[in-house]
Amino acid sequence: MQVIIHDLDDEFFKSLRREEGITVINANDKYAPCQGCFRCWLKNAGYCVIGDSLQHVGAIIGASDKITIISKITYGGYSSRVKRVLDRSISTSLPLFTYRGWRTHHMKRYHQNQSLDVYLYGRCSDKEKETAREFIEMNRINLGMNEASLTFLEDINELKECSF
Amino acid sequence: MNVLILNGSPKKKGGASHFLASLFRSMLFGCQVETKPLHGESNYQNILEQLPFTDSLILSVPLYIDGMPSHVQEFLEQAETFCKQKNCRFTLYVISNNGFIEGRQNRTHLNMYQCWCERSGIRWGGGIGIGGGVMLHVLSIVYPIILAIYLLNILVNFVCGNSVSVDMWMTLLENAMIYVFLNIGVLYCMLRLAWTVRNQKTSPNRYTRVMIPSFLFIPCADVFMILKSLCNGRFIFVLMKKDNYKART
Repeated sequence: MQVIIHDLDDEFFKSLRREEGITVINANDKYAPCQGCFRCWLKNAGYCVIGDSLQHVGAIIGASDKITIISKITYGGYSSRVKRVLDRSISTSLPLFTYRGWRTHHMKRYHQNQSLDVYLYGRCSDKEKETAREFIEMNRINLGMNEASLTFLEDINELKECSF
Repeated sequence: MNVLILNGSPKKKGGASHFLASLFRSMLFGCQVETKPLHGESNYQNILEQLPFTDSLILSVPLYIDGMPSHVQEFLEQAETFCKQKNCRFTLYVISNNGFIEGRQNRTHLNMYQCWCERSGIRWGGGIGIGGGVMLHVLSIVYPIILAIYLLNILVNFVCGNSVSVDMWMTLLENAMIYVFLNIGVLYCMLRLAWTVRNQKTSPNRYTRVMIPSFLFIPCADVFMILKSLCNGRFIFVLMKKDNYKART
């Protein structure tokens, strides 16, 4: 299964080349941000207490073997819209701790091999690019992904040449 | 000098960021300090209005998936436009804490605020990355209780006319020293940053943690999580199950 999380206009996203059977999460839809209550770890087995359409986003991401993120580059990271979706998905991990890449991290709840493909569009400085590279690598280790790729696209229209 | 401290945790009550913000506030003597919550969207306008009158902005913020919490980032996206329009001239300092023990896991997060400063024309003053934020907060609740019990024991013995032995005082002192030792890195980094803020200077980013090795941190943090889930009426084994929700494609 594949999931795409993006912050593009619906019309623009539909014009992109993509495979069938992909779960799409449009980060521009109205979602509540994470409350930091940890109840998706300590009260519910992997789902959020907020009953909107991101309630089970942890299960959706956890069941995917390919996760694609398309986001405007913002201060060397994702846009706040995309980050909001990811903040709600910490239930892909367990509350218990382990070592990964010589540092402490959370154990994974779902165990299939996963890859993370990130497309960051928009103009940015070299410092933002450097921060983004570090950030995606940290995401890969923290989320327990096997591999990650990062593509910078200065012009949003370059997305039309990619296939998802 | 006007200092504005923002507590960037989405939690309405408590939280490590709140604790660290109050601790840092106590070190800013001689400044006009105000603390405001940045829990979510409802706080944005109130804070923005204050920015033109602020000399130093201090953000105490948790690390969420290696980056800014989304509501803090959304606020900064609005603040970027606002600061350019109003030509704001403050210095930004960030105290970032994460649940994991390594303070260096905050490095990229702090760089993101530097990127924000570059975009907004704001001076970057420096930051601290603190590992084991939740643990620091828990220690700040547990240790005063332990110390109070020892002190009470001494007091009861004294009032009842029993002799108060040197050993009793030593145990109290020992525990107080352990508490200070566990916090020593945070206190040092915070005092240096407070000095920087008071003198309106800039400093390099510093990283610190609760002073315990990670192989001790992991079992302690696991036990804490298990106890906390028990408080919610759940055994940890139940919580380790997968969520079998099926998404529409």
